[in-house]
Amino acid sequence: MATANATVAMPEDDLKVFVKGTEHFFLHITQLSAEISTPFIKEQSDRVILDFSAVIGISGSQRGCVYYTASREMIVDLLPHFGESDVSDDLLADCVGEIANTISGNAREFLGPNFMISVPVVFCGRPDDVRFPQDAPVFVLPIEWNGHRSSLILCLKKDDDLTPEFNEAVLKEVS
Amino acid sequence: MRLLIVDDSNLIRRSIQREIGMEGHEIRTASDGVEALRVYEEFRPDIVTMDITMPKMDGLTCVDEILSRDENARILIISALADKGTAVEAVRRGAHGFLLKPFTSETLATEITEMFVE
Amino acid sequence: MADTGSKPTAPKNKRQPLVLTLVLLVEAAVFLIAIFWISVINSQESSQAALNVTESKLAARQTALAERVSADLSQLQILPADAARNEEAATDLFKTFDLLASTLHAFETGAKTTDLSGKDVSIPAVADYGAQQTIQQIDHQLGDIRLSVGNFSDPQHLPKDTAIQARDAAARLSGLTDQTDALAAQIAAGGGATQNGGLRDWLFRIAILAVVGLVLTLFDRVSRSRAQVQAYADDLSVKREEAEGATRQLAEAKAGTDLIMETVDRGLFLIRPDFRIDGQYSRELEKIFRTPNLNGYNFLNVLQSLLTERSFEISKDYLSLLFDKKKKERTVLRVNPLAEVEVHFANPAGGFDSKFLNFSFRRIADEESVSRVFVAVSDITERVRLERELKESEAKKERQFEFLLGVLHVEPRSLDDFLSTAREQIGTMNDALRASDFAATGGSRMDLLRQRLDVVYRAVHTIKGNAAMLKLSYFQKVCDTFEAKIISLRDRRALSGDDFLSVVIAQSELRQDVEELQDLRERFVGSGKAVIAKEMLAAAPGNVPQGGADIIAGITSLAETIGERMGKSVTVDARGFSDDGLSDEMRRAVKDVLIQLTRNAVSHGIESPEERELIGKPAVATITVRTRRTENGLAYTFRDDGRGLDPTFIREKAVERKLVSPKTAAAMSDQQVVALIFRSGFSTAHDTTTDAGRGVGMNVVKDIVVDRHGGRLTLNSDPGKFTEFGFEIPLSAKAQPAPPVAELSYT
Repeated sequence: MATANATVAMPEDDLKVFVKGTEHFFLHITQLSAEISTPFIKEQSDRVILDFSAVIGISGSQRGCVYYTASREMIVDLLPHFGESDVSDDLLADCVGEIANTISGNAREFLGPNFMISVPVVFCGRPDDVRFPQDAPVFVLPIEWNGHRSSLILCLKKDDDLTPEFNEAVLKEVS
Repeated sequence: MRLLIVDDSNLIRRSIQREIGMEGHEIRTASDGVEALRVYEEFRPDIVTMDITMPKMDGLTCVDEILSRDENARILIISALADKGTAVEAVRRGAHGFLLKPFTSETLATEITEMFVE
Repeated sequence: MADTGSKPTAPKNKRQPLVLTLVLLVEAAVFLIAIFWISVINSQESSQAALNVTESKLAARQTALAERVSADLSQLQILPADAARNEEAATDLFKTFDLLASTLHAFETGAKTTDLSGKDVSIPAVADYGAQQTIQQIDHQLGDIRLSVGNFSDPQHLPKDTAIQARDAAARLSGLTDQTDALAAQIAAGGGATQNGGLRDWLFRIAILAVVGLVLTLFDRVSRSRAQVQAYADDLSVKREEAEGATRQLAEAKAGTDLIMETVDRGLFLIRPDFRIDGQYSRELEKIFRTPNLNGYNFLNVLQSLLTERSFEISKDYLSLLFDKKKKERTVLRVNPLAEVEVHFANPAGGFDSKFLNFSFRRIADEESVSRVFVAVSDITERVRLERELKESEAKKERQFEFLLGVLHVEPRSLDDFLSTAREQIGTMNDALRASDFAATGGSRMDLLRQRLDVVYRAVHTIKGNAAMLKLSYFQKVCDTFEAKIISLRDRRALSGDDFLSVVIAQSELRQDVEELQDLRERFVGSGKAVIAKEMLAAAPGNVPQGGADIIAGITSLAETIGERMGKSVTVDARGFSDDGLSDEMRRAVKDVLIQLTRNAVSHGIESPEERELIGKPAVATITVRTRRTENGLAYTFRDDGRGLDPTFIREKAVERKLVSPKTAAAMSDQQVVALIFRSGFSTAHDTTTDAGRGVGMNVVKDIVVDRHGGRLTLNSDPGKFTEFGFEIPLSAKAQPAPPVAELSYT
């Protein structure tokens, strides 16, 4: 009997890369580690976008977006670790961007050659109009740091049907 | 020392400035590759710190451009991109140093010192 | 002379000036030589003339001298007494005669003599024959006179007969002046006629001719030049017309090319060996690459921003091959990796825009090297997307078909039940995972995570049970895989949140499967009537009241299926079974409980027919289900006549699974030990056959009855004889859930 979803690789390893990036950031900048709680599937009614968010696009055997979203309180608590006493909105947005940058960059290290990972784009506010895809599951990974809650949101779809790789062997022969 | 900090994040720019310390240094900043080139021409810093992921012109291209105008430019790449390919590429294009984000003040200081050692 | 053809007339024209120049030079030379010669002649003549004049003068002087001599002689004749005068005359006579003679001699042989101013002058010998004759005559005459003159050589001592001598001399002089005159005349005439005269005339003529020739040549040259200039001018204007024509054509062609470049729907461009984009490119290219001003751009840089690292490396290698003349073009073109490639444009709003591009290449090469590569790129996103959608929908249809086949045998209502259960359980799972209780780190955190894992485990197990009942083998398998993941996590010492990624992924896959089944059910399996249902009813043993028929049918079928697989015979007696008054949810709860109980009974409780016969039991085992109304709700009993529960075995298992410490286990009564089967974690790893070990199932039962519905759960067992579960679902919410009560009876 055919399986409804062809599971090609162990996708959780790919997804864990994003978690690792987040943990890495907090540990390095604050020396206080962040904890991941159990991930769950976002239902229609779940409101997951917080005050400041950044979105990273990825494309490869998984494709879609990864969001990192955090509350104002958490970022305000985070800024002093950069040596900042100022807490303007711009800086808060920058901070989220940096977290997302670290996540994205870390992802590149492990997924690099076969993935495209975009530059993060920061947006503010709690947009109820962030459209999450309907045709693929949205995983929410809650992150606890210093009593604050932030989340990684993974909207990824497996792409089994990758563009057929040309014949590398033939190319080598020709070379 | 004259320093040019290039990063699209104000937070990081300020952070680097703070880590380096303000005594006796002349510091200018830029938030993308295009601005960086312009400021470089006017300012002619001793060291440039360069982020890679930036809008308008990415850091590696900017490195190319700066080096084509001044082959003695000293450029320290400070980036979140941890993959080997990027690091190798940065060095190949002529960057003198490569520092991963997130960095500490110690690692930053070390890298900057190393820039002046031939 | 105008050249109408486009062939160059240069060579011929080039020769002509040369010839012309030569001719000119010759003519000029001739003229110059003639003139020179003439001047030479002239100067010769003038000197000759001068000489002639001198000669004439000298010749004329001879006459004068002769006359002086005569005069002197006369003097001497006349006045012999005047000594001074005579002396003077004699001196002069002598001098004069001497001069006369020397001059004559000079005329004769060519020598020096004194001219009229007293200067020495050389004169050539007289050439004229007549003149020479005259000279001889004069000489002869002078010879005569000389003797006489010799008498007066000493002027101071003149002889006595001077007068006589003088008279004699004078007589001999006669005719001398005539001779000298004649000579003079001859000499004067001779100078005029020189041989050079004729020559000079010829030379003059030649010179004139040369000049004329020169002029003519120049004239010819000029006219020829003018003709040439005219020819050139004509040529030029023709050429200019041609050029204008060509420019117009070119402009038209360029306009044509520009038009093509403006409107063609693909990107066309050339790249140089250094990979830079060269020259004109089509406008579409800017759209495709989303970059303006591409001239001079490095194509590799463009690619690098659009491709994954690996794709880029491959493309870079390929481009090098294209420029490598040593590789055959045909072969290289065949391995084009960019024929259908996915590219990613950074979306300023975040994430990527993915597109598909098709690149095709052609070399532009000569014998030695590839100078350019021509590239055509089109956006084939639409086409690829359609292809994929098509493929996907076909695959989906196939899947659905197979799904359908696996589901056709299920009666719609049962299917609905299953779907409801599944959705419910999935919801429970997700709720547990979502729950945001921030516990402290360390031990209690771990506990929290384990708890959640248990919830998930139970939910999956329930779904599996239901799937087993309906013989939905696909779902059974999926649940098995899911359970396996959970178990592998359970076995870990330290759990962290991200370990649950595999759980949530499996959950989402299950969810998708359920949704697909839902979709299918709505579209294919119709509503209400299914032929199958009736058959299932018919298969149900005994007289079963309509209510709950499908539940019983289900567990009967389940028991038979499992029994068959395990080589056991089971029959189900569910007379009087009822689920009246129960809400749908409670119905499902009852069903789930019965499912778990059935599975466990048949898998573990009931012995093989041989074993049974050995101990004197009927080969076919019986499961008895009874319903009873209570004041609270409905109470059910489920009894199998199998092995019963063995406290010792359970005690061991519990200790093995670390549910209790050995001490506690030892301290517990048999009854208490038996109740341990309801604890989570009771099942062992090697019990995870499709029908699962007696562990999770019991836990599920407890969870449903006690935890969720606040009902009562009892357990009654006689080792070796029977096991009986009793459970009650209250119709109203009960205040306190009571722990399961176990009873052991011994017979």
